Amino acid sequence: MGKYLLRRTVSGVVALVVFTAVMFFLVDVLIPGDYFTPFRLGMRAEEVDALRVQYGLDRPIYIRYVFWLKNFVFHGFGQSTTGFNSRAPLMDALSATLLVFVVGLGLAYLFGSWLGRIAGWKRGGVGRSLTFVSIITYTIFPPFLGFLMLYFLGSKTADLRQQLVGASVDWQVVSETSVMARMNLTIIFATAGVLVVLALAARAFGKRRLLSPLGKVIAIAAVSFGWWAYKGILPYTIDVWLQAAIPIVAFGILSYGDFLLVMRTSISGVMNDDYVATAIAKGVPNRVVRDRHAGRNAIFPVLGRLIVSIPYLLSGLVIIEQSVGWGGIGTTLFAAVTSQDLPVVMDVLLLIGIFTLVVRLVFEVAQAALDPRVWKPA
Amino acid sequence: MGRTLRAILGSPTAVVGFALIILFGLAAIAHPILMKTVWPSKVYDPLTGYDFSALPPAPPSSAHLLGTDSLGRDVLSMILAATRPAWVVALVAATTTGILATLIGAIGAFFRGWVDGVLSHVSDAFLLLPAPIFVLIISEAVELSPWKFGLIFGLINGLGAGAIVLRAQGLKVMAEPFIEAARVSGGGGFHVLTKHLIPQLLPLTVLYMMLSVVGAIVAHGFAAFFGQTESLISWGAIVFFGVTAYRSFGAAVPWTALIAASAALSLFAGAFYLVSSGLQEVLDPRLRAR
Repeated sequence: MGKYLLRRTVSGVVALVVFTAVMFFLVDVLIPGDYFTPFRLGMRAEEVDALRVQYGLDRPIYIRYVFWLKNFVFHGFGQSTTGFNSRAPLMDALSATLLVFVVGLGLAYLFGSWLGRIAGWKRGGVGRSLTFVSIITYTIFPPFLGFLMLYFLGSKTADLRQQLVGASVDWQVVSETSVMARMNLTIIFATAGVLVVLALAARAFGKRRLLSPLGKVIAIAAVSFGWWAYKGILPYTIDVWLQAAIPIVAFGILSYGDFLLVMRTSISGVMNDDYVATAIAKGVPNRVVRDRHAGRNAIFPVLGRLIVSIPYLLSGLVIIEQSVGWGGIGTTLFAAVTSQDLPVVMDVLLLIGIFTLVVRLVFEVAQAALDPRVWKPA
Repeated sequence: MGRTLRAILGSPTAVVGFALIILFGLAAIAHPILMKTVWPSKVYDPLTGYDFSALPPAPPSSAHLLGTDSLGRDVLSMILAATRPAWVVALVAATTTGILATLIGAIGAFFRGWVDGVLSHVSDAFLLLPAPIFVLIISEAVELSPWKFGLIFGLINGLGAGAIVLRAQGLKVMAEPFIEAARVSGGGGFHVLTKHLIPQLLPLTVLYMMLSVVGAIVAHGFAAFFGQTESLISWGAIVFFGVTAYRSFGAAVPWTALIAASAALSLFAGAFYLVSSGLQEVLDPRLRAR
């Protein structure tokens, strides 16, 4: 399995380099003009050309790409035509996006695969209406969804923030993004910790599993909130949660349908398999057959689908961010494009690429762990 | 062929989807006819119409079945007029995606080796970037007509996710015994590629084309929502006008315009989704058996 993962990582890095080259080229070809084009308004053409030569923009595109790549490898993120280093704002935006992405996707996955199992198992009324609702939310126009949520819930969450933590929070002292970054770390470590402890405990007690998925979520939440209370940042995290609630819920609504629909198809595929009939004939309760027998086998297409649809999930997130005004990488990207700050555009695109690659690798590890057919030679 | 058609018509999801698609087709045809016959263009023009007898945004009435928007334009007329650009985006994006994905996928699966290696790395690279985001970046700087929009979306989608999906299917097909049989009986490479491999891929191509319409329509709506496409007449732009009127000069929320435009966009995308999932049920015997 190590070899398989190494191969996937290497091929991912190669894809990343190709990706940057393609993006660099396309952005250059499709977007007219360059950073100095607007300077023509106040300068003579020769002066602008001299500036171009001075900054190397007159060179052929492949040389500029190699330059850009070299600079990225040695200096990392953070170049911007504004003259300020953009690394810190970029990382802040990333932590804001990560918070919404991880929590929203987790919720969407849990609800989507649970409802999908029900929809696939019970055809007829319940299954049909679940499918219908999920197709509507899957194709809903994201800006409209964002508008609806802001219109009906925006002032309510603002009031709630004021009532709950208004007095005990001072964002002048603590920066919002540092809290978000700490929250991300806590959630990731709490998830990993809870899963490992539960797996070890289950092995020790000789049981298949100790907690249902919902139980696991509650355990992770309890551990995280306990840690924040211990660290004394609980009011701040609650304030962030209340602000993040709208983008998280909107992102969840937008993406759960994908999981539901794939899970439904997948369940109806395995339902005719012999082992399901055997389990039912043995007298195993219907719900247990659905969740443990059929559900376990039906999960693979969902994971596979997850890997292919990361870009679409991310674009949904970017659109939601922009529609509800959440300061993540989507908002940064649009601001940079409008001001033709191409280094920042490339940085954000690269960030999205790396992000996709990492998420894909995480899913591939999960897939390989669950299904050895993926990496074992036939 | 007749059996497949009957199976498609037997699937309720596909039938509903087809019905919706036909409805949108009629809507695209109906608008110019209505403008020529019953709707005077001073009142009903989708861009510049204004009804002095109703204070905008007006609720639905017999003159304006869906009311008027914040600028006093008839919502139904705007919705119908926006159907045509949506069709252009959908058809161009789906065709480009289908052609590119099938060709690249088939070539990769047929030749294997270094050709496949190069092609699948390029596809992997395109998969790192969501097509909607990229089209949005471009449309921020360049005014895109529905044609160009569909073309760029299809290019990225077809080279990326589409090619990967079809290549996987192509590998499965190439392992089938009938390919070997075709080779043994003297079929050349080109013959196997065009007469055996690509025809086997076509059902999945159609399926994938349908799915790509969903992405293209939502992306186009979003680009229009930010005022970044050439077509001022589009569902996304209607939502944009409504939200902006409410946010920036505190006008009343034109609910009928917002809901109708969003619903039209979702239904149009949803119709293609329904047809694709109906087709999937037909193509996958494991699902059809029930």
